[in-house]
Amino acid sequence: MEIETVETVNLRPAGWRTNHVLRPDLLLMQRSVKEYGFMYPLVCRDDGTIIDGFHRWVVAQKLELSIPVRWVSCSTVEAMILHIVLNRARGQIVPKRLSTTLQALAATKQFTDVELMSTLNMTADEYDTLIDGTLIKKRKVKEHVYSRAWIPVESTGGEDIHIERPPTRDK
Amino acid sequence: MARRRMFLDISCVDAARQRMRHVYDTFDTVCVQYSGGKDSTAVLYLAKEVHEERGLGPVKVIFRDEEMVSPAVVEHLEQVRGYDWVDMEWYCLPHGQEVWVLGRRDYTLLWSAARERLGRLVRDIPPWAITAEHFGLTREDAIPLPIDHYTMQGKRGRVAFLTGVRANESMIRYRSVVQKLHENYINRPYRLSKAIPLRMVKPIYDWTTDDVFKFISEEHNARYTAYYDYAAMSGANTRVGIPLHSVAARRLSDVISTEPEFFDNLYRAYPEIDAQRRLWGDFNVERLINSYALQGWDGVRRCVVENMLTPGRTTDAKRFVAEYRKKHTGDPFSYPIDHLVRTLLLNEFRLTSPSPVGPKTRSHKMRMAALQAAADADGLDLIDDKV
Repeated sequence: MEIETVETVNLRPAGWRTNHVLRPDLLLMQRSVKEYGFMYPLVCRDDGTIIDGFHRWVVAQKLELSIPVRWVSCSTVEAMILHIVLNRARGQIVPKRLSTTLQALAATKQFTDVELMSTLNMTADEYDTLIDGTLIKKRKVKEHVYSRAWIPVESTGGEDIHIERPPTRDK
Repeated sequence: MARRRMFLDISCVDAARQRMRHVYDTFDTVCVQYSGGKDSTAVLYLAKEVHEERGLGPVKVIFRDEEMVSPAVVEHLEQVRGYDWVDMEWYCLPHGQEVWVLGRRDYTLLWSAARERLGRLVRDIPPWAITAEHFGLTREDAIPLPIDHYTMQGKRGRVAFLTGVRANESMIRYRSVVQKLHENYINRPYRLSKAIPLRMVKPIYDWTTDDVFKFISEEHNARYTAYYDYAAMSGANTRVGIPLHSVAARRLSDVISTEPEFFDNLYRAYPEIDAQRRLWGDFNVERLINSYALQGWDGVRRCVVENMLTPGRTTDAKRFVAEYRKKHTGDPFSYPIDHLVRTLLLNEFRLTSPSPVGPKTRSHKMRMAALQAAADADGLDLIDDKV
């Protein structure tokens, strides 16, 4: 594997980035780079577009350091896929950004839906939600029939009312 | 007297339209209390229908900006503010808010001038906002009166604030719309002087989430905040609101999965929340509750000292404990100590009275077991669990 050390000005972030490192973790990364330097290289396209390692590039800029790079010769679409695969493998993806990039990939028409699902290791449900990108479809709002109105009346006993619980776990 | 729902032969949307017309017939000024969320968006469009029907001009909208608002919601609010049929009053008033981390309760002043000087506001105050200075106050302290007192200023005659409260969001909200039998959806605001002629109106109290989305998207082809789409993609909670109080902070991971940049803004202002992010998943809150509860009232005292980080919170907690202790003396099974500790650590107690343990909780099961044991000793059968 050939690795070259380059100045940060020679690299540029990709508009289709799907991940995010939280600020406290970014500060930690900055401290670690200051202390130990870069432990592994960025992955970049020949034209300088960063495929993997955007946040290390941000840190390098801030600390005015040059940075190790592994160059990859590929098209934009291949770069997008490589970026998603590398980040999904590490579990570092923001769904809303992935949705935008996935829609851009689908728009290129270079892959079928099944090919994209298989390449990115996605289930049909996940792919469908991300490619549509709206809550309306997920909740099947079109098929929904309006509920009946109600008013409170006196009663000898209470009744159970369905409370809408948030989908995420609450200890 | 208990309540139940009597279903009518009209849809919830038609009923809400009737309620809206009734409100516009009976109040001098009607404003939509808007949050940027889906429910108040539905109310906004119901109000738009009435305004168009009656030629009333722009809809008066009030937004109480609580600083820790998601970027997607702020963006949506700014769009709504720009609609020519909306006349929005955007309030950024300093008032207290809880910051909850692993059971510990701290206090922060929203829009505080002191935090602004340190560069630690979550967001800047929008230039168009109505601030404390407009009322001759400063942002060094909390506003002295309830916030409705300020948002009421300049409104003529009897005033109605329309809200998007729905019964099936929580039991508290359900109870708030079934207490009254006549005009059950029109209530006086909590803690506001009776002399102020303001009423809160809940025209969509009987709607479900799907009713709301269907109404917004199909009847008005209107936009809602992109936050809901982000939530759908990441399986997060679909409620917008302050993310750091005791209930919401337990779902801080939802903020990270939907809008991680929002977490960064919060972290700049409140670095202590990183402990909540990193540790809550593995935090054994049950063990903490037990450790306090097993020491009885001494444990409760310790719980207050160790987890209420400001004098105000400590005073609130002590008042709540004193009230709870009275109830515990009368009915120790319905008001057990672990329930009190759980409330102090996990739930809102500041403006509420102690409530007994609910069914399906461990305390309730213990109570039922003790009653059963007593009944067995008397040779009686316990008929049901509604004793």
